[in-house]
Amino acid sequence: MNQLLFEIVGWLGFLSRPVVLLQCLTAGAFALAYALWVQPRLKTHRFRVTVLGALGLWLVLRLNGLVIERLGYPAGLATYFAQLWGIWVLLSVVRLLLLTRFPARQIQLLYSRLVQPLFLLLVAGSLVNQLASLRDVADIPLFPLFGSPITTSNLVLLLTIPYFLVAFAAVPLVWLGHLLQRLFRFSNGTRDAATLVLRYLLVAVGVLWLMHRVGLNTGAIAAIAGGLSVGIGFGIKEVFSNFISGLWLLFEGSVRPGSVLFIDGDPCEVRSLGLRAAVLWRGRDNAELVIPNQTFFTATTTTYTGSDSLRRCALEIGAAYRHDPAEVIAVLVAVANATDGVLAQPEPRAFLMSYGDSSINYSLRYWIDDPLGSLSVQSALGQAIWQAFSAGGIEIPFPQRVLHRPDDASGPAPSPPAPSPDPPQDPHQD
Amino acid sequence: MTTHGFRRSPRPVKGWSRLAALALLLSCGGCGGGGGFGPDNLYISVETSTNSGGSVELGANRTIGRRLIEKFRTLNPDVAVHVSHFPVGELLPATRFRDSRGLGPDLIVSRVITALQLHQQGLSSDVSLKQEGLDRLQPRFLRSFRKGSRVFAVPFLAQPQVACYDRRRLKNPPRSLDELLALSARGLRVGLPLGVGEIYWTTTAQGAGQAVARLLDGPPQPTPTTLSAADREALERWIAWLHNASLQQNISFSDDPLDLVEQLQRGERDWISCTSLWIDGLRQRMGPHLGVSVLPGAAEAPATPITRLLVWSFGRHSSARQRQVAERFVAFSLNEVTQKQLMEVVPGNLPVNPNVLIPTRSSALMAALSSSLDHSLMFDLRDPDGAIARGMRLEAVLKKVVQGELLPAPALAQLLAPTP
Repeated sequence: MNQLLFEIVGWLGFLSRPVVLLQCLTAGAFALAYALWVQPRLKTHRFRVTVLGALGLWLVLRLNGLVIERLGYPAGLATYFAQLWGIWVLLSVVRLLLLTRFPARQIQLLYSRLVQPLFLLLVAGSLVNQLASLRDVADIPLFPLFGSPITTSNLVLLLTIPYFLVAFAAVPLVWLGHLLQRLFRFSNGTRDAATLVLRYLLVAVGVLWLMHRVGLNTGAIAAIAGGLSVGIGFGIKEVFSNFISGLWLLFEGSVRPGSVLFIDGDPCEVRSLGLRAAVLWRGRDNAELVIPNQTFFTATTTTYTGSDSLRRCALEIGAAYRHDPAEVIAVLVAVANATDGVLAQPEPRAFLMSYGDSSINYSLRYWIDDPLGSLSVQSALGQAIWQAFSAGGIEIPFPQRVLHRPDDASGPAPSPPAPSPDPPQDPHQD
Repeated sequence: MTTHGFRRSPRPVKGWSRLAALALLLSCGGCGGGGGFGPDNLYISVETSTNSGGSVELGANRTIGRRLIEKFRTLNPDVAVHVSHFPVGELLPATRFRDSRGLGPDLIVSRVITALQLHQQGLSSDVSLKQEGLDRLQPRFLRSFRKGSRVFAVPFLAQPQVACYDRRRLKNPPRSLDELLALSARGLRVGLPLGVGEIYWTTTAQGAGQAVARLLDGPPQPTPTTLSAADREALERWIAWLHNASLQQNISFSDDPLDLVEQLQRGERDWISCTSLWIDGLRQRMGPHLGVSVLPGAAEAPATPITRLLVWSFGRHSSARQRQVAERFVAFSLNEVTQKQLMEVVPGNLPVNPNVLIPTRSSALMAALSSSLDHSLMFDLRDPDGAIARGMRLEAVLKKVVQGELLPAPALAQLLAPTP
């Protein structure tokens, strides 16, 4: 580590050269002028004007290099600064173009997780390559790890490869998942499950390759892992339990991204099935529920998307006693058939359920193909029934209570309260 | 207007802090050494010996560098030396790349031909060592680098060509090529390199040294090389000898010198031709079983190999202070004590300072190296780029000859034909 620091600090020594200082100072002055004076003034303008301002800085940096070269001094460093800024501006322009075609969130993720880290790596690598032999810097030993010396390149690989495996592998694997779906006619859930399993596999293979590439002593790692497994097992057994549960659920297919589950009385859609937990979306209040995988593994789960995505719903309604039940049932079925969202097959059916206090109670049973759309279909159906009953003269009764006051001659006289021989007793006393 | 401008500026403090940070950074770097508070930084580029760039081969070079820097820093603790290594073929583009940015090295250690290329392409500057510093060098080494009164590179260490063999398989090394062939016929497994610089010594017995030298330092590419009848005959004899050698059961050729060295280490070869820079590594692996001798020549004349000479070249964009430190460093590397210590620390490197005594009587290795150096040749190439291209062409033809693809007569015709 000391040697790496020695080299990095040593690179500052190049600034003692007038030709280097000239390039750095001029480029730095232009960049500062842009940051302090131009950029704040462009912030209030439209984005295109900001891009034009950035392009202006690139032009000035490039001209700076040309002028220095014209004066007979080396100008490669000044040109390099212009190139870096040019790439950054180009990436910004590409981002603008992408935003016109793709969702902003996806582009934001692409840039923050992939493009910007890659750009950072490019800047770091190219800068080191300007100043020293990249191979020498890469070979500097930093510290021993499991008996193997970790060099700068190994450290960079250890830090970046897992990140890019996780962040970058998703994109080609999603494409591969879609390809497999077309080839084998998977359902969306199976496709997502296959994609996730492939992703885990890729990450696992990548990590193994990385360990081999870095030259970690796998024997030592295995020994340490074996020794610590018991201790770690107690400490993080829940994590492993959740991970294994997640894999099992994927293969089993009961819980997959896209599945609709019934959680605490609400239908929720599984958004993702992670290493530890599943993220579910609840439409009622747009909440995201993070539920450990183990929960699904050990508890009863109600799913609407196990063998198909149909959901059977029921609407309870009462009609007055004077209406013929057959007529009411026919109206209910007809209304259900005419309502959007209600499936024709399996056909809707209505039943006389009970004779209530003030109405005959019916139940209309119907099927929908969107398990999450139950409420809206129910609302539409309820309105349509009201309209149909109204048109057909069918009354929807409601419970009525008749109160008789003592001075009301028409009703029976209330009996006076009976004298109580005993004093009132405390109800808690027996 | 100014006030308005300040009002619109969102966070002036952040901007000024950036300015202050930049100023601090520049002052940290710019004030290094001299009257500043940081150390002097000296940047050295080293050309390594093969294209493979593996750490196996880099050992000796790095040991030399480390020892030299350690010794120099005991006297100059305020100098930080940064070394970058580049394989053969990469040093030139790497130096050009960094030079175009003003980030070129202050010093470059390379072979002679690379130093010539650096000079021709304007990537190195003239040597401004004091005369007393140059007087420390053998004139024969300095001749190649003189241009009028100016000198553009300084010799550093000499690495002559020798024969390395396994003492368990061979007691007395061959003194002539005929003897070598005879030994190979009796079962000695011989490994010969295919690089022109490494196999040049075999021309001695055939008298083809001058012809090969003319081929390498010939006219520009499209013009056919014209040789005298005697040179043509000698050249054909040499090619025929290589062809015959390739037909021998126990002689094999390799275009990678490292390959031969590794074969000797593994016991797959008994005798190889090698540059002395490999000796240190071979001794570490073979111990007392390693034998080193001069290369076999003609019956009555010793072989004339080409010595690999490491030289210093000075960079173009050093600050005045860095240049001063670089000159001090080179002068230090040439003094008698340093040269003697480098010779002792890394066996296989001979001093270029004639005042350093080479212990030829006490060490058979040193005697072999010294003898090889005494009989060695140094090309005075006018056109290094052309020489490299012609050398590659010669190697390509020789490769076909030893692989049986080309007979000596058509091979000679190809060598003398104009290049398309």
